[in-house]
Amino acid sequence: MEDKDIISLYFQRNKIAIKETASKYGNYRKAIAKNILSNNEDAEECVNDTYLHTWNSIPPHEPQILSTYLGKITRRLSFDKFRYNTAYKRDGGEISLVLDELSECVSGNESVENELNKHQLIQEINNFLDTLSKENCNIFLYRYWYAMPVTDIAKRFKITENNVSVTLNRTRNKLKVYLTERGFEL
Amino acid sequence: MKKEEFFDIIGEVDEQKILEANKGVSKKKKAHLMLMTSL
Repeated sequence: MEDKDIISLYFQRNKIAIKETASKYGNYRKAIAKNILSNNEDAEECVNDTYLHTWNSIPPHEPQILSTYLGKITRRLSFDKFRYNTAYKRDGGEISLVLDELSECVSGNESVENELNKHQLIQEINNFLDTLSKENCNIFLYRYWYAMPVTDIAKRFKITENNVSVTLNRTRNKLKVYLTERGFEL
Repeated sequence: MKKEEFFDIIGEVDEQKILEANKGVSKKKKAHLMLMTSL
């Protein structure tokens, strides 16, 4: 079924929308949740939660890109679950490595950013991604959006793990410089 | 800024870029399918 037809079902409050979403994007969601949670049970629980969140948010929201919208919900819920788990020291996994890498770009202090600044920061990160080669941009997004293991990224791009790590390291450094030059002291 | 907050902010980047990342690799290497089956 086409995405626009699935979205129409949500607007009609037709529960077949959930079935069609699960059929088309269930595995995609599971993969994202699993990358972040490293635990099948937790990942499954998060994916199940995403169906309710999707049902409750469409309408009023009308996604422009359904797959990414679903991915964002999954990513957010999975990361919330990760935070809950780590608060009780129940989990580590890939996402801990991803966060450690990102810590090189930030101070680690409490943020004083307001919503406007956050919006501007997101825009600057978008601008930064536009400066990267397609491959480097995709490697960055696979690692820091999908939280994909370096091993998997290397396989997908048919490069070595070391190449992936070096690329990510250089991109993080460039990002930090880029944002600092534009007034963001993170 | 805390690293967790930065991860959240990266989650808000342009949806089109996320879509293109997936599509771009899938065209060459069927990565979308691989992502789906990476469990």
